[in-house]
Order: sequence, then structure tokens, then C-alpha cells
Amino acid sequence: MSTTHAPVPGLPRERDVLPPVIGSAVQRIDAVEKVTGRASYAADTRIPRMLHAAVVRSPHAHARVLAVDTSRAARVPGVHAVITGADTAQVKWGAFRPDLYPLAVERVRYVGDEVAAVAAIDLETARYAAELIRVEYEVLPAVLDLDAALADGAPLVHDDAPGNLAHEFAFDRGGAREWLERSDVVVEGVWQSTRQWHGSIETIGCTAEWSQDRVTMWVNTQTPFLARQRYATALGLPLRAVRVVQTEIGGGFGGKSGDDNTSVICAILARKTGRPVQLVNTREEEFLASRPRIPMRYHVRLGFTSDGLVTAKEIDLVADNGAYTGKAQAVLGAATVRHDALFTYRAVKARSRLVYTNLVPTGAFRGFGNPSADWAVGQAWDLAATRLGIEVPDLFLLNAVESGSVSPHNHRISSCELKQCIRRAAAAIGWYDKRAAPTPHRGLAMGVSVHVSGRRSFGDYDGSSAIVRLTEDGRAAVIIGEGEIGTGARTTLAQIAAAELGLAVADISVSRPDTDLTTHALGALASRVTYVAGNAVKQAAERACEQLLAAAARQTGRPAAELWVEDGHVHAPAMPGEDTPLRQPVGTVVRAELYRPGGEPIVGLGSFDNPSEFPDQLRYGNESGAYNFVAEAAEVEVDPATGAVTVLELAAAVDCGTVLNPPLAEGQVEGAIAQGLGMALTERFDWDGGAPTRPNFVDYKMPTAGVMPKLHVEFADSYEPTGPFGAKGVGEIALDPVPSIVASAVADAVGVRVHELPITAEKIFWGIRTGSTTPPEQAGPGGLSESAEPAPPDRPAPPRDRAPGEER
Amino acid sequence: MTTLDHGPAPTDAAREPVHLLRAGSLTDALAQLATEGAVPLGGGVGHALARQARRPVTARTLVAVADIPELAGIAWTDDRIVIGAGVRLDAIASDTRLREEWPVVAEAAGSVATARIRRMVTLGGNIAARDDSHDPPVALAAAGAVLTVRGAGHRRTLPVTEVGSLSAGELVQDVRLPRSTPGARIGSAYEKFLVRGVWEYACVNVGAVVALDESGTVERLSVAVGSVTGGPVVVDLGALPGRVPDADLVAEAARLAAAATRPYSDVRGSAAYKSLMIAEFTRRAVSKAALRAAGGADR
Repeated sequence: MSTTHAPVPGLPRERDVLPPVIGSAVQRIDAVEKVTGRASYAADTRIPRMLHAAVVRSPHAHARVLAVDTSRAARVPGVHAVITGADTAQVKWGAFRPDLYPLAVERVRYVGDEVAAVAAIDLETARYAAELIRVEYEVLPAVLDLDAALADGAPLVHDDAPGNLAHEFAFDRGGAREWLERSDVVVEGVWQSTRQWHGSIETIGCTAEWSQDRVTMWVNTQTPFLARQRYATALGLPLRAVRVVQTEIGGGFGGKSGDDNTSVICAILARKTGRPVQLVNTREEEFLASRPRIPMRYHVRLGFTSDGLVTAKEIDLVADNGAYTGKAQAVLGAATVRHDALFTYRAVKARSRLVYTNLVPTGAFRGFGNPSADWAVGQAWDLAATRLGIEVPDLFLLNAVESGSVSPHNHRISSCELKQCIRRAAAAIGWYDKRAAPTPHRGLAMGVSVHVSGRRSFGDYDGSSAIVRLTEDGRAAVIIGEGEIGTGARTTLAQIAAAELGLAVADISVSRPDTDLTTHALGALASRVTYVAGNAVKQAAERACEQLLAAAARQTGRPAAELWVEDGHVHAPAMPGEDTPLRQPVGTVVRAELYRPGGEPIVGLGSFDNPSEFPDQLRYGNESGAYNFVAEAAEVEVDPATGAVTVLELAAAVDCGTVLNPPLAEGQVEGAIAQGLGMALTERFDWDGGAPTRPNFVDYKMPTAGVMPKLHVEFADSYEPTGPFGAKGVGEIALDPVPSIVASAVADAVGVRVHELPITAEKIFWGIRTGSTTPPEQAGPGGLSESAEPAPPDRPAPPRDRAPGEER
Repeated sequence: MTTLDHGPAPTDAAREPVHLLRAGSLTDALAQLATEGAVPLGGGVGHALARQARRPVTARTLVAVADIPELAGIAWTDDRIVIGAGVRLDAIASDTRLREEWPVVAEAAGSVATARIRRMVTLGGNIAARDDSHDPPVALAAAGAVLTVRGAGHRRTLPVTEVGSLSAGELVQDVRLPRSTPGARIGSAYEKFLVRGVWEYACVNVGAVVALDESGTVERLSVAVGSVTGGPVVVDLGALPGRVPDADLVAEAARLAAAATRPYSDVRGSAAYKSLMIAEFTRRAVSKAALRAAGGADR
């Protein structure tokens, strides 16, 4: 790990002398390209002789493929290739548990599973031909929810996964049951999240072209190097045969992590036709066959002493993997342990199971399991505050971790301003004033979360490397493979390089990932780029700067220690007897260093590996070198006549260390809150036969500007010693607490606690009206229950949890 | 594209190019529409949605009618308002006189989708789409609007609720609303429930019209409900006219509206919930209409 920026006692910390470009509202380096429409997204790729492709998908949740008749499609003029599973390597692939064929072999396992594909001269022809492909199926019994999949004798989604378990693990760290037995107050309940789609404006897409025995894939993936590895497996090729180049990306959010078949099918078609092929998901395909958020059902038990100190937590978690695993196994790990780095638990116990179903496979989505965990565990904390008679912010402050805390899983917290965040969020929303003067049908709630800055998950490396080349025209080229998914990461990296080099941000270029040309990188995942890649770029720039100053020292005869770079020039004080200080353009120094006998370029190489541990099978290990934190508070209003929720205000106080670029960081927080509100309130489908009935935005409602609350976004005064200029990750954290605070605020407003996302107006309405959040005809015998709380939907039924104010 | 292998393959006819004709006059349009496979094209939103849904395309010819002069503009006479079928919803929503005289209609038009879509959608196209969740037909049904329909060589009128009887080759020319006499105590209101609060089809939508006589007794009461089977449904309010517009009357209208309509379960709510919301939003619409009729502040 880098110790360059560890504070040294007695010396001023770097935070006190941050370069001016750090923390300033630098304009995005890709702003003009994007607003003028010149940025080239996946579907903008154009290669001479390029064909277009279409995919035939299973209409059944589970079926045997008896025959595929492609003859009519193949005869359509303009069709160049029709492929089925027989044309593929028939190798299963997947990030953790290989279980997915590029095109179905013998069986289809969800509505949307890829069966055949066509490449044709244009899109209309490809689609038309695809409709002519006849597939004969033998429909098989399907498991369409968690309970069906876990039932004794349930049909198996995969024959090699008995009990439909894709992954499971359990631990008890500290003897949680004993602590719970000795606790004065124990709360418990069952909470379930649901599938949420990324809803990126740009869908997943790829253009592939072969040259001899190598394929180049222009893909809008957020993880080109990791995707390349999996694509090679899926294509039955050695790694060296695959090159991945990142296009512009119109929204990632985890959904473009390369766990789906689109790019693989595209490459197979390109090989078969001998021509470049482009395949871009339609919106419907994006809903049917991308990798949405994993629905998770948590049974949570939480213990406290009578004075509000948390003792222990026990969770039993089942997660809906869908038909194929992808990243879900890793998500399960995060969803089981991460939130234990928030509070000083004495003991934690967990059992986590990832369950195959015949539904659309699930995977990575901003928050990576934490929004589901924070929703379930956050609900238990909210109930506990009521039971204990302690205001939520006060209960959090009593138990929050601090710098130096170590979680039961060995998360070693370096910088931590969680308590500052709690206080600031409470102040921003006016917590105590609003509590003192409650308004009917309005409710207040707070939630907290912790996230990583990079996560050691894909082998024992979470590092990044970068090359900074100073050019003979006085600029710097940053060569790095991390990429840009719209967060502004390349701009932030440019700022870091500019700060180290003394150049203007406008004079820094940052490469796009290309697995042939750039440094190896894990890409945009786990809120890692600012922290991990930022450190690599910083070091590369430092080293380039050292070489520059050494060159300038040689060229001018000054000691290097007297030299510095500022405003694109190398400076030195005036020599004794001279009037003018030295002011030499950087480009002049670089050129002079090159244009001499034995001349050399000025190139700095930087490398950084996250100072973290590779967690073991039971998820023990310090998964990240730096943790970011948030506290969020919301006030909602519920219309009791309809159950409709209006989120009036939401305050977020974020600890992401030094804020490198305030508008970019605020954008991350605001966007995350919007996605959290969608998860909490509006995003859902009607399902029939294992698929959404209308897989498009007519039914699937993401929040618009019109429903966003008044936002207060604040950043804690914080500095991460291991971060670049003190920075930590910020991409995901603000989403995590949103479903929980909306649910708690609704409960505070009208006494209805919804146990399954999303928190629809209808559920609240029935909760107010009948005490149960399902319509009367769907409820148990008698329909209209007298109880104030709905029975949790799980079995065995735990003691029902309580509405605020209700005593046990 | 998504091919879920449902049903027979489409005919090759679907791949034939579709012709787009731009009619210069009503006569032109009717002549063009009389040909086999010709359908009118208003703002184009409905066609775009059909294409997106990949419904079988049977139209061979699209006849663009939105801009022909006989379908343009809002005309006012002593006894009626004639809104051309080519008028965009945005123009209806922002028409000051219409907002004054038939707020239910202006509010409904202004509640559709987003501003960009309202600037495209024509009133005639919105009605002729025969979608039970569309807003303007609900308001127009409550207001008792009548359509002028033109075919090759004929002209007929029909209530807006009978738009289902339009036949191929016919075109809605305009929509006629009655005018109230000066000083009449009439009020109307449109209430729409967006269950998720964002751009979407309504969970329920209700239009109401209340007219009071000199003594403040309800002379006329009309409620229409959308987003229900066979909608918009004009609710039979029986003997309610003749009573004073008090809370009991409003509650009874709400009860009748819920009892007279059959909502369906979908992503916006269960049928049971929607029935209760029909009652709630009828209550809101009738109350607001009555307040407006009585010269209340919200006018």
C-alpha cells in the first residue's frame, strides 16, 4: 500500500495544502462531446460491411428445446448467418459459477433465454428473419419464486445445483444467539426487496470484427478487462484472441458488467459471417435479459441493552439468483457482511443462500446488495429506536463506528466521519424541530450506510496502474484502462494528474480502455476508480514530474530541489546576479530531453493496490482500504385517502473523504438518491408466467425530475490518509439507505410498515384501511385483518414487528 | 429485437413499405382514406407506440390529417364550441376561454403524458385511439361532447362514448361542446390519479360536471370514469339531480361511480383498489365542480 500520504505527526497534513484544482468545479473533459452529440456510443459504431443482428429468445420460463428450424430464416434475402447453440463452443461461462451457455443447449431456463440469432444486411431483415425461426419446446415445470425454488422436491433449474442452491455460506462471529438472549430488547422482522433494472438510457450493445484468429469487440462495458476474460471463455478462445475496446457508455450502474450474452452472440455471428456484426439490445431485451438487482429476503433479529447499545444481529438471507449466476454470488457476500461495518456489534450471525429460479438472472446494480441489506436491517434499527424510546439519530450516534473501528469481519475503518454525517443530516432536515412540532400524515426517518472504495473480489488484486506521458507540446497523456461510464471518472483522474504535474486540466487527456493498448484495469465497479485508479494516476504523475524536474535541472544547471512546475511551466527563483526567475515551458523541457543524443521520453508509471485483504469463503477479511459513509434523512407526506407518498425533503451527508470535484460528487449523490427512490417507491412490473407483462417504460416507472424531493446534499469534512489527496469512493453510497428511510418515514407518517418493496400507494392504502398491505381478496381468511401490522411474508412466522409506538 | 416465438410469423405484407400521404383538404383526406388499407395519421404518437409494441402492421397508407384546414382551430358560436380534430392537446390545455368555460376539458388535455407529447397529440387522434385510459375522452364524455364524423360522401354525429362505431374510411372532423348561457352556474373538474406520481397512464381518471339552478340545487350532474372496462363510462347518477350539492350527494355520486364501473388489475393497482380510488377521485372531481359552479374560489 502507498504510505505517501499518511499523516506525519508534527508536520502539516497534505489536506491543509491541497492544490487548487483539487476540490474545484472543473468542467467534465467530455462535456462538449456529449452535449453536441459527438460522443460515440455502442450503437454509433460504424464499420464498412457491418451486419446487424437479432436474437430469438425463449417465451417459456423452463423448457426443453426439441428442435430449432432455421430454414425459413436462412432463405430470407440479406441474411448472412443464422446460429443456434450447435454453432457455439457449448462452454458454460460466468464470473463466479459458470452456468450460462451463449445460446441455449437443450434447455431454456427463463423467459428471454437466448436460443438463436441472425445476422443480416440491415436490422429490419435480421428481425424479420428471427421471427421466422421456429423453435419446438417441451415446456417443463418452472420455479417462479423463492419459496417454490426452495420447496422440497422443487424442479431443478440446473441439475448440478441440488435444492436450487447456487451458493450458500454461514457464520457466527461472537456468539450472536447468546448475546440476543441476554439482550433487553430484541426486534425482528422479514423484509424483501425486488428486482430493479438499471434503466440506462443506452442499452447493452457490441460491435465485433474478426481479423484472422482474433476478434475485436467494441462494447459499452464498464469492465473491459474482466469482460474480455469471460468472453474468451464463452467463445472457447484463448485470452489472447479477444480484444475489447470500450465505447462511450450511456449509463452503467452495474448493468454493463459483461455478465450477459449479447456481446458473445455478436462475436459468434461475426466469425460465422466473416463480417463485422453489431448487436444492440432493444429496451424489451434489456428488461428481459439483462442482469437486474437481486431480490433479497431478510429475516433480521437485532438486540440491544435497555440503554440503547447494540448487542448482536442475526440474519437469514435468501436471494433470488434467477436462472444464471453472474455476479450474484459476490453480491450475496456484500449483502451479508458490509453493513456490519456501520455499528459496533458484539456479535453477528448470518446464513445466506443464493437460490436459482426460472426468472431473469440477477446481478450487479449500484449498491451491490447493500440497498437490500440496508433496507432490511435499517427497518429493524428503526423499530428498535421506537421500542427503546430513543430518537433514531441518537441511537445511531450511540452505536456508530469511528476511525480505527474494526468490524466483526475485520473491516478496518481508517477515516470515518459517520457521526458527523448523522449530525449534519439531522440538522439539514431539521430533525428535532420537526419532531417537536409534528404535522399530521408527515413522517421523518433516518438511515445510514457504509460502502467500499474498491473491493477485493476478483482474485487477490484490487489494484490499478497508469502511465503518464508528458508530451513535447507540453501536455500529458494519462494511459489507463479504467474507463468512463458517465460518472466523470476521467475528469477526476485528469484533475489528479493536473494537480501533480502543475498543468491545466485542459492539457490532460485520459485514454479509453483498450485491452491491447492501455494498462490492465478492473474498471468501474465497487466505487473504486477515484480511490484505486486515482492513486495509480497520482503516482504516475508524481514520477513523470520527478523526471521532468530532473531533466530541467540537467538542462538549466539548477538543483532539482529548487525547481517546481506551475501553469505549464518549470519555475525556479532567479539566480544570484540575475533579474528574472526561470520560467521554461514544460513542452520545451520534454522536447529537449528527447532531442539529444541518447534522448529519452518522460513517462511515469504508477501502480497502486488497494490495501485490503481477499476475504475468505466465509467473507472474513478487510475487503477495502477505505470505507465511505452516508447518513440520510427524509420527510414524507402520505395522502391517507390514496396511500400516495410524496417525499418532501431528503438530506444526505456523505463522507467520501476529500471531494475532488463538487458538482461531479453531488451528481453522484443526487443520481443515487433518484435510483433509490425508484427502488423504494415506483419501480416494478406486473408478472405473468415468469416475465414482466409489458417489459418497457410504459409499466416500469423510474423517478423523473417531477417527483424528486427537495435535496440537501452535504459532504463531511473528511480526509482519507490512503486516498488520492484524501479522497474515497462516492459512486454508490447515497443509494443504499433510501428504501429504508422512505419505509420508515411512511411508518412514522401513517403507522404502516411495508415489508416488501416497492412501497406502493396501494400497499400503504390497504395498510391504513385494513392493517394488511395486500388487497382484501389476496389476504388470508377473513380478508380484513384487525391487526395493526401485516404478518411478515416469511415462514416460520417470526413475532410480528411493531408499528411505531406500539409496545410488545 | 425481442422474438418470443409467439404465434404465427407475420405475413410478408408487413415488410412492404407504408406510404405516407399528406392531405391538403378534408375532401382529399376522405378520398385518400377510401382506399384499401389507408388509415389517418394525427400526431403520430399512436402509430409510434404500435410500432414499438410490434403489433401487426396492416396499414398500407398513412394519411396525414393533422394540418388540414377543416380540422384546425377552436371556433366559438353562441351555442357551441367546435374544436377541430387536428388541434393539439397542448393548444386545448392552454386555451384561456376553454379553461374558463370547460375546465374539465382543458385540465384533461393538460394532464396527458408530457408537454412534448401534448404538443404532438391531436384531439381527434387521441379520441380515435379508443384507449379507455386516455384523458380527453373522459372529460368530453362528462361534458356531453359530440363528434362530427366525415366519410366519403357522408357526415354524421355521435356521442364521444360511441367512438367505437367509427368505420374504416371515416374521420373525426371536430368535437362539439355545448355552451352555457351567460351567468349559468356551471362548474366542471378533472381528477386523475397517477399512482406513482410520474408520467404514466392514470390509475383512475374522472371528469365531473355540476350545474346549479338559482336556488343552488343541482340541476345537472355528470360523471365519467376512465381506465375501466368499456371506458370512458358515463355514470348513471339516477335521482341525484334535484338535491343540494352537500357531502351526502358527493358521497352518493362516488358510491355510484364505483358501483357502475369495472376497473381491471394491472401494474397501477388491483381492481379492488381502483374501485375505491374511483370513489375517491369522483368525490374530488364532483366537489371541485360543485365549488366552481357555486362561484367558489377555485375557478
